[in-house]
This record gives sequence, C-alpha cells and structure tokens, in this order.
Amino acid sequence: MAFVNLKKKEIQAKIVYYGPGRGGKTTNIEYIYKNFEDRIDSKMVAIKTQGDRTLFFDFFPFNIGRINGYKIKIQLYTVPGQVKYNATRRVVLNGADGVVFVADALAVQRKANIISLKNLQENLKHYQKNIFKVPFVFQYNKMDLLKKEVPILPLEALTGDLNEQLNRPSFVASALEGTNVVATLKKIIIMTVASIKMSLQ
Amino acid sequence: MIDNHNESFSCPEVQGRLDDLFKSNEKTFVDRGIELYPDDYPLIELKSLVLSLDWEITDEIITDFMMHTDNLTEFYRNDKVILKFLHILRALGKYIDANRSKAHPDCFKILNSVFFALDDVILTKDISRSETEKLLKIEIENYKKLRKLVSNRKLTKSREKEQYSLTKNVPKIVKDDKIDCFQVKSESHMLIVSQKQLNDLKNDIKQFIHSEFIGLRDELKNLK
Amino acid sequence: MLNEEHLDRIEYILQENLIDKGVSCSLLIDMAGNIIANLDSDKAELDIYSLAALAAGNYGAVGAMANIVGEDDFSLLFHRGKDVNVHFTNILNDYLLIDIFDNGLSLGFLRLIVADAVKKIKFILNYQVDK
Repeated sequence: MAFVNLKKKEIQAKIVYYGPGRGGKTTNIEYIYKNFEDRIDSKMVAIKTQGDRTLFFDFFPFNIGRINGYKIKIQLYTVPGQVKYNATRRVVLNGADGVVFVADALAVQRKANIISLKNLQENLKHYQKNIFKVPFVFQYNKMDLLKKEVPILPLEALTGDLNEQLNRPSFVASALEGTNVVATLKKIIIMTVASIKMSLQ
Repeated sequence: MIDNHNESFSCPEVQGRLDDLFKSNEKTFVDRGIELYPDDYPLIELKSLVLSLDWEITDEIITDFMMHTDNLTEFYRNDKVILKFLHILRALGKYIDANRSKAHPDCFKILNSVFFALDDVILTKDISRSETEKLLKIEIENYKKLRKLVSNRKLTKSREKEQYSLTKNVPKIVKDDKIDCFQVKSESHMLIVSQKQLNDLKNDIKQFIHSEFIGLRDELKNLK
Repeated sequence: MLNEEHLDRIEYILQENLIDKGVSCSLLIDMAGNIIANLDSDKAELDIYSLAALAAGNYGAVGAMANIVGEDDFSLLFHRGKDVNVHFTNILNDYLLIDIFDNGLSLGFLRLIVADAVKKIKFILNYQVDK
C-alpha cells in the first residue's frame, strides 16, 4: 500500500519488476539508472550473486516532483527471477503498488513466462491483492534478438499466453538497448499514481 | 595386469607430502583469541553477568549481579583495594537497577571499565600494590565523573520541571460553577481546563488502558 | 493513515527516548520499506531510503526463516559492526523501528530505551487504528 505522509506531503509508491530469471528486470532498472543518474539524485542498490544474478532485490528510488501538492516518490524494485527464490520474491512484493511483468521473448522461455506469471498471482494473493486489479504493465523484452535471428516468440503467442485474460497495457521492448524501457516505466507510474489517487478519494 | 610400479607413488613420498601439507601444530589448545582462566578464577560468574548486562538488562541478571558482588565483597574482605572496586560495581548495579532506561548511558561503559580493571588486577600475577592502586584511581575518577554527569542531569531536569510543571503538590481540581470548566489550583500555576479537554483526556487514558490490555492479552496467549 | 499530529508525536518520542539518549539514527518504517518517521543526531549522513528498503527486505527474509524453523519471529534482530550497530524492533507486525548506534551505547541499555519508545509509539498507532 502506498505510504502517504501527511506531514511531509509525500507519497511513496512501490513498483516491482517481476518475471522469469534472466528476463531483463535488472537490465530495465540499470538502464534507467545509467541514463538518468545525472537527473536523479539517488543511488541504485543491487544485491547480486557472484554470477551477477539478482539474489535479493535491486532498488532504485527517485522523485517525480509534485502532483496536487504532494511529492511523489517512486521506489523501483526487482525480484530475483530464479525459481528457487520464491520466498524472497514474496518478501519483496510486500506493499507493491504497481507491477511490471518483464516477459522473456526467447522461444525457450515460453513456459518460464507462464510459470512466473502464475507465481506472481499466488504471491499477490498472499497479500490479499488481486492480479486483475493491481496496476500492471507487460513488457515483452529481448526483441532486439530478432535482428540476430534468435528464435523469438511472436507477439500473438506472448499475448495469448500471458495477457489474454488480464488485458493490460503492453510494450515490446529491448532493455539492453533501452527501447520502450522508459515508456514502460512511465505507463506504470501513471497507472500507479492514478490508482493511489483513487484510493485516497 | 596391475602395474606394480604404482607402489613407488605410495606411502613414503605421498605420506611425506601429506604430512607437510597437514603439518599439525604442536599447540593444541592455546589460541590467542581464547582467554584461559585458572580453575579457581573467582570473577568468572560476575564476568558472565557483566557481559549479559551488555546484551540485556533484566531483573534476574541485576539480582545475580548484586548477589555476586556481595559474595565477592565477603571473599575479599581483607583486601581494601579490591573491596573498593567491588564497592563501585555495587553502586553502579544499584543505580542501573533503580533507573533502568532512565540511567545515564555512560554508566554501562563505566561498569565495563571498572570490571575489566578489576579483572586485570585479579588475573595479573604479582601485580604491584602501586599498579593496583593506579588502576583503582582511574576507575574512581571515571566513577566520579559519572556521578557529576548524573547530578547535572538531575539538576537540569528539575529546573525544566519547575519551569513547566504545575506544582510540587498534587493539584486540586475544583469545578467552577460560573463557567463550564475546571480550575487546577496549584501554588505556582492556575490552569483552566475545559470540560471538552478533560473528556478528551479521559478518552485518551481509556484508549491507552484498552491498548495495554490488548497487548497483555496477546502476551498471555503467547505464554500458553 | 497517520496525520501530522501523530507524526509529530512519533518524532518527539524518537527524539526524547532515543536520539537524546545516544542513538545516532532512528527510523520508523512500514514492512514495505516506506519511511514513516526518521531522526538522526547529525553524526552521519545515511542513505535512509536504501536502508529502509533493505531493512524491510532483511526483516521479511529473517521472518520467513523464522517460520521455517517453527518460530513466529525472532525476538532479537541485531547486527554488530566494528563501530556501528543496527537494531530492529517489530511494532504491531506492521512497522519496524530501526536504530543505529555506535559502541558508546550498550545493547542492553538500547533495548531498554527502545522498549520504552515502542510502548509509546504503540499507543499512538493503536489509538489511530481504533479511531
């Protein structure tokens, strides 16, 4: 639940990047951090394994300025995608106000995407949150691999597998190259802030 | 066919290599990090209590602490210098017991300092009288500084209290029929409290008691 | 939701019961890692937002470990450093009080003053909930 500080006139919103292992969640955050760090006066925290895989979470907070007199502070988190880290994912998901699901467009990851989405639904349920109601955006990542002739899932397959029932905004992206990384982030922030505004009224 | 030449790689050379690799240290138990006490070390229990106080301050630990300082006072009744160390420890124990969270934070540092100075005195073989007295003098100075800090603190607090508090005596609450309020009469202040403020205060107290009961009930449930 | 008056009172409690008694920095956060109140003694500038996020994650992870070993939670969560230490206290299962202190303060004493502060904070939080 977003935290509203009536004294400081500040809203803190938590957005979690979720998805299968090596899907590009950390790459998304790293892209934003590296490309906007001169404008964003905060550091990114990453807790990784020696193999450079997310062990606990990545964290990156930043302000987006004032809206209706309230300072909006966005806190971006990623979860570890590997299956064995479910307990950690659940911990990090606590208090999430918005979710970006970073699906891996690699053909070999088709099943992993579905399992991860199901896992997200279960973990949200643990906090009495409904995946159909939480501010949610899909990102179909690694589309840059099309140029390299690596087998990629077609958009129809990705949408059919993941978004048919949820029917949420989605972006085709390349976190490595930065394509639609910012667009994804902007969309989820807008949806999250709108949702918070509604719940406050 | 089994190659008998393999035996040339066996015991003597390999053994030698392994012996070099896993050469055992003749010292089997003395390690720099571990303090070894003589079997009759008299401060062992008090030390564990001092270390325990560093982690947690409970009635049980303080009671045991006082008891052990008393026992040691009896044990060292003929050694005036050690008695003085124990006397300071006892005084600190009493202060902590009486004040708990209101104690001056430095008292724990002083407690540790006094204890470990005493520990040095007991453990150092053939320590001279003058060295012992020197250590004691340092600790007495520390203790005096603490006492000064504590009394200054009390003075500051009592001055603040005088400035802002109502009275030395319990204030009387008198209903004033002319206006819908209560007058709190005291020697130094007259404080007008409205009916609404009094009701709010009563509600606050009720809420506090209510929340305390909830807390107690939960604690009892956990004990079961 | 905590209003300005509640937050003022909480800050006052943190100041009077903890900072004034030697705690370097005191943070009240929720379990999602959001900072509700924070005070420090100006001894050091800390990245309190990362600290809060990590503390919440850490506490959550430790809580999950506790469940695995059959405990509801662990009553003492404390990290001792060479010069600086961190102590965590769960308040009403919804909040976490994080206290950063140096070796000038003993853990035993800190636990006493934290217990006092928590009692007062609980009163405000419970009062708010009951309202």
